[in-house]
This record gives sequence, C-alpha cells and structure tokens, in this order.
Amino acid sequence: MSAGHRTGRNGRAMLVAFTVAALWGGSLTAAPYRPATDGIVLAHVAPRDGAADVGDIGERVRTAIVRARNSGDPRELGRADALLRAAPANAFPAVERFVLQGTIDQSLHRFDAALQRFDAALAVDPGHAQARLTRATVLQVRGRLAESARDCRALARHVAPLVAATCSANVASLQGRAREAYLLLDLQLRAAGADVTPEIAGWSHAVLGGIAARLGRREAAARAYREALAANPSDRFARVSLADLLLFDQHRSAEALRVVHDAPAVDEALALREAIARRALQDPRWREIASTLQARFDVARRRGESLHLREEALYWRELRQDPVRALDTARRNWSVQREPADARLLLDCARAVGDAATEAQARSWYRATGSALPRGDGENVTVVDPAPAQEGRS
Amino acid sequence: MSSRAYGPRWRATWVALAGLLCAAAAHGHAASDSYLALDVRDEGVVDVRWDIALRDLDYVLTLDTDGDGAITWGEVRARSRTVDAYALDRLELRSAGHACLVDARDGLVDRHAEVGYYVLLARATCGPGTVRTLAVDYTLLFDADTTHRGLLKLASKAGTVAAVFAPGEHAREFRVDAQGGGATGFTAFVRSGVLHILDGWDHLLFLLSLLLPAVAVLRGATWEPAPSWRPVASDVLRTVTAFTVAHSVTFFLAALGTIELPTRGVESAIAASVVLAALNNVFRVVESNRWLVAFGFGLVHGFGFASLLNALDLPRGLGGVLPLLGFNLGVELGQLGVVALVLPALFLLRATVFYRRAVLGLGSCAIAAVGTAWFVQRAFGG
Repeated sequence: MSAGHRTGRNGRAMLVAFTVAALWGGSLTAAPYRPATDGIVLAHVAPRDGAADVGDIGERVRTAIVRARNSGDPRELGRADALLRAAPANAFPAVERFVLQGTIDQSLHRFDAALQRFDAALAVDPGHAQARLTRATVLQVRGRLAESARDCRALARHVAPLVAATCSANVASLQGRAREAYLLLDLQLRAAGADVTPEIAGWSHAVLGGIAARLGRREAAARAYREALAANPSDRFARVSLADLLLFDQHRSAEALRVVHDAPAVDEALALREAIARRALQDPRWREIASTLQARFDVARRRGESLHLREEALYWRELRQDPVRALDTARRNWSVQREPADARLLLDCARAVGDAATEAQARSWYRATGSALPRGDGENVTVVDPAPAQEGRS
Repeated sequence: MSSRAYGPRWRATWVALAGLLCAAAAHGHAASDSYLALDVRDEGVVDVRWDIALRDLDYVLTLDTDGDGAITWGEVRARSRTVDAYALDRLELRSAGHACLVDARDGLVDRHAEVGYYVLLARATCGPGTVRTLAVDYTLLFDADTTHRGLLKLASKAGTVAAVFAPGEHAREFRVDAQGGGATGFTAFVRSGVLHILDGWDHLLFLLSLLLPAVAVLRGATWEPAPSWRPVASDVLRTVTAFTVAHSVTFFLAALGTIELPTRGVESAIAASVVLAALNNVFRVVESNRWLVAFGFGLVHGFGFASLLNALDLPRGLGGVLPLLGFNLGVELGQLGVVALVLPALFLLRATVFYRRAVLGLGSCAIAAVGTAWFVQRAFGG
C-alpha cells in the first residue's frame, strides 16, 4: 500500500480536522499598521466615470457581468448576483432574468443551478440563442454530451454558421468523432475568412486547437491556439491551453513563459503556468508566485470553493512536488468539471502516484471520447495521423 | 456569414460566451472575504479584530471620494467612523441571550495576499460574568455581493475554532468555556493519528516484524517459546518505547519545519525498513537488541508521519504544537491498540509449530516481499 492510498482513504476527514488547525497559525499574524502619510495608496478600484452605477437595474447587472468577464474578478459576479436577486419582479422580462442568473451561476461553477435557469429560459423562448449556447457549454462541462450536441444543432437556426459549427464540432470531438469535427470546423473557419468578430474567431480557433490536441496533433494544436490569440489576445482558454501544450507535452518552457507574458492580464491560471515555466528554467522568481498562489488556494479552500481545483492540483504536482495531494485535488476537481483538461489532469496525477484505479477511470474517459491517450512518460502524445488511421493507438 | 449575426441578440450571445471561457480558465482576483478574529477574554470581554477589504468597503461606502481609482490612507481615515459604524451594524454578538456592546477602538490597515484591508479593532462587552456561549450573527456585505464570505477565528479557553459565514449561514453559536469545543478539536487530531496508523500498513508491518520474535527466545539455531510473559513484556515495552521515542523526535522536528527531507526518499526508506526488519527474523543479524533497530528505523518513520502533515498543510512553528501533540498521541494509541491485539495471540501460539514455521518464518518472508514491492514502487515508480 502506498502513501497515496493511505491519504486517499482518510484524506477527507483529516483535511477537515487540519483546516481548523490551519487557522490556528492563522493568516492574521502580520501586524496591522497606521500608514505614515495620507497620500499612501492602499488599494485600487475602477475610477468612477459616473456611468457605471446609474441606469436601470438591468443595465447595472449587465455591466457587472461584462466587468467580471474583462477583469476576471469574482466580486463583480457576486455583485451582479446581489443586484439581480434584489431587483423587483418587473425589472426584467422573465427570460432575461433566467439567462442573466444562469450566466452568473455558471461563471461561479454552480453548474446545476445554471442548467435549471437555462432550462426555464428555453421553455419560454426556445429560440433564445444565448441561453442555448451557454447551456450547451455547461452540459459539455458536466459530461452530458448528447444533450449538449442537441443544443448545438438547435442553435444553427439562430446564429452565424461558424458559431453553430464551433459548438457542434467541440461536442462531436468528444463523442469519438474528432477527425470529422476537425475537418468541419477547419472548413468553416476558412469559409468565414475575415468576416468574423475577433472574439468568435478566437473561440473557434481555440476549439480547433483543442480538437487537434485530442487527436495527438501537437503542432496543429499549437498553430490553432496561436491563431486564436492573434485574433483575440484576451482569449484565456487559448492562452492557457497553449501554455500547457508547451509546458507538459513539448517541454518548451521558455516559449511557454513568452506566451504567458504576452497576456493582457495575468490571472491565477496564467500565473501558475509562469511559475511552472520559471521553475523549469531554474529562475528563482517562481517561489514568490507560488507563495501568492498558495495563499489564494488556502482562502478558497476555507471558503469551500471549487473554482480553483484544476489549478491547485497542478500547483501541488508541479510546484510543490506533492503528487499525492495533487491526485486528491484532481479527483475532487473531476467531481465538478469533466472537460478534456480535467481528464488529462486526472490521468497524469494518477500515473504520478501509481493509482491504477483512478488511472483506469481517466482512461475510460479517453476511450469514451476517442481521444489520443498521452504516453505515460509525459514525453509525447500519441500521434494520430490526420488521414484515416488506426483508431485508439496508444 | 449573415449580417444577423451582428444584431443585438448576437452581442448578448457573445457576453455569455466570453463568460464561459473565463470560467474555464480561472479568476485573477481573490474573492471577497473578511477575516473576523474574536478573542474571548476574562470578565466578559471579547477583543475583536476585523479585516475587511478596502475594495469591498468602497463598493458600499465609496471610500474613493475623489473618484480617481486610488484609495488613499487620507480617504480611509476621513471615513473611518462611517466604516466602523457600517461594519459593526452588521455584526451581532450575543452571550447568554444578551447582546454584547461593541465599541470601535481603532482603524488600521493591512495586506493579505497582495490585497489592501481595513483593520477594525474593537472591544465587545458581554456582561459582567464569564462568557460561556457566544452567538455570532454576521451579515456584512451579503446584500451587496453574494460571493462574500466571513472567515471567523474564535479563540477562547476552549481552544480555537474556525467558521465561515455565508448568506445562507450567517449565524452560529459557540461554546467558549473550558468544557466546550476545544476538546473536540484536539480529539479530532487524536482520531486522525489513530486512523493514520491503522491505515498505515507500512508502519504496522514494521512494528509487527519486531513483535513476531518477541514471544520466543533463540537457543543456538532454533527458536524456543519464551518461558513466561515477563521477559516478553519487557522486550516489547523496550521495542515499542524505542520506536515511539524515535519517531516522535523526528516527527516534531519535521513538523515544526526544522528538518525537511524529500518525500520519495523517506517513503522508500520506510519500505526498506520493513524489508530489513522482516528479513532479520529469518537471518537473525540483530538478535538481542531489537530495540536499537526500532529506534534507528523509528527516526525514519517519524519523517513519514510528518510528510503527511506537510501534505495537509498544518501551520509550521509553535502555533501548531497542540494539533501535532494530538496527532502523535493518536498514532501512539493506535499502535498500542495493535500491540494489545497481536501480542496475546502470539503469546498463546508461541509453543506451536504453526508459530515457528508459519508465523515467524513465512510471515516474515511475506512481510519482506510486500516491503520489497513497496520499495521498488516508491523508489523507482512514477
């Protein structure tokens, strides 16, 4: 029996006990102080331009959601949530209230609540494209692929062909039809040409990159992610995916660091990749980033949040060399999210500890989705030829 | 692409889409938290330290008076009375049914994880006598930000407890006299220690390897049953004590952060100790002074226990000593329990062929085999 099994069985009960202990050493050990002069700046907020907090309640909720998207600040979501809940019944059409609430819920990883809202919205207005697209994505995150695919198909009548194609291709690629999905989406992207908003172009290229990665075509994946970023530098999914490809599959840490540095704003996911890259490059600055991340994860754990589990698992594995704890975190993450990145995380963490049962669980995801299984040594991804090739070589 | 894609509905679609992709990545900012530290003193007094993010206070009270996007100490100082009143209106402390009187005493600032906080220092008077229970009702910011959480640390004679306040769970009552919850905190660590040793087959097999020959004495080349329980008991006592002392020493050194060793090395060494202790029963390299073996390898096992604590993020330094004591005590109790179960059985069987052949001989070989497998897995695996 390995250390991994030991911790796994009693880990949960012990974590509860030790969380109490973690507070004993507390984060309030630093002494509070009185700044020497009035001019010292203590915090930054959005400058008030007078526009942000006026207007009707609907406008304020929408503004808060957009601000949350741009800043990545969960506070904005909580504020939008509070505004929406406090809004009088007649402040919004019923459908819009459902959609706004669902959007907030899914951003806060309250996936089941989000699905209920979108169900309600679509029951009233089956043609609501935003509700349908968002529900398709949430269903995909939860691993309910058939339902997700149905939403993507229903979307085709209401949005631009590229949007519907991206939605469908993403799901199809997880249902064992990655090769067709890749061809379809690639064609759609070529057909759309320059006639696309940067955001949609970024999203579609990033999805294409993900499909290529699952096919084991690393170069094509990297190319697609870079095109996504060229179209929309704010596309975080593309940037994180590219950084992961460079770090974990190609071992090109210096390049990964450049990808992180080009980001318009560095969030936790990117800061983590920066630390991993710097560590690989033997740049001692990784420690500083790691300690800030740890403080964030500690607070998140005390809050009982699941928002950071994917990042936290990588943190334990890559920065703290603690594969046992990484696996425990990856398992908890898997119970919340089941996207390709989560499956890869579970697989790699299980392999690092030698936990055959969890590895089998991850492998069954690869089998079910028809994705190429990364090789155990972390060196290479199985290369599946773009042309018709043997299925499931690994 | 058709032009309708650019209509208002489509723009709305994009908002949702972008939100999704953000969620798939991670959030760049810490969520909204306040840290509420309550310290129950004698004579009905509770000291309050409440750290509230300046950004949150700005959202509800507009601290950034000139609207330039920077909150300065001058702006905070000018509004500190308003802030104190706003916050304390949203914190209710009650003892034995009576509301405590809470007075703000000072307003300072601090930083947590790179974020600026206002630090409200206050004192609560909860009546003339000793405070036995404390009810806390926390409603700060829940009406403005549903993701806000209040992280409570409550210190009293009963020990220190933690709690999280959320919109749906904003009121809690705590026992704060000496008979209260502190014991359960300590007991939790003792229980963790017991569970760990009972689940830790490598530690148990090592101990078992040392116990197996305790009920027999070696005469020439053959094992003979021990004549009475007395020498057996003293041998076991020596062995178990040596193991306990050794692993306690290294456990505390490692848990307090004095010594750090790589996990893989420690785990491999523990596996090796199982192999060596078991093989010693077959090849008899060390015969009389088994307690020395127990002590030497006990040092290694202590690092093993401590590495588990590291994985669970126990605070380093003296603040965490009590939980460490509890955990270690639990390990000892579990260990003694195993000895109490195994030893009488071994003692009763000691004169049988079954003991000599199957238990001592085959048993030791089996333990050595298991240990070898662990060693290979830990030293060279994954």
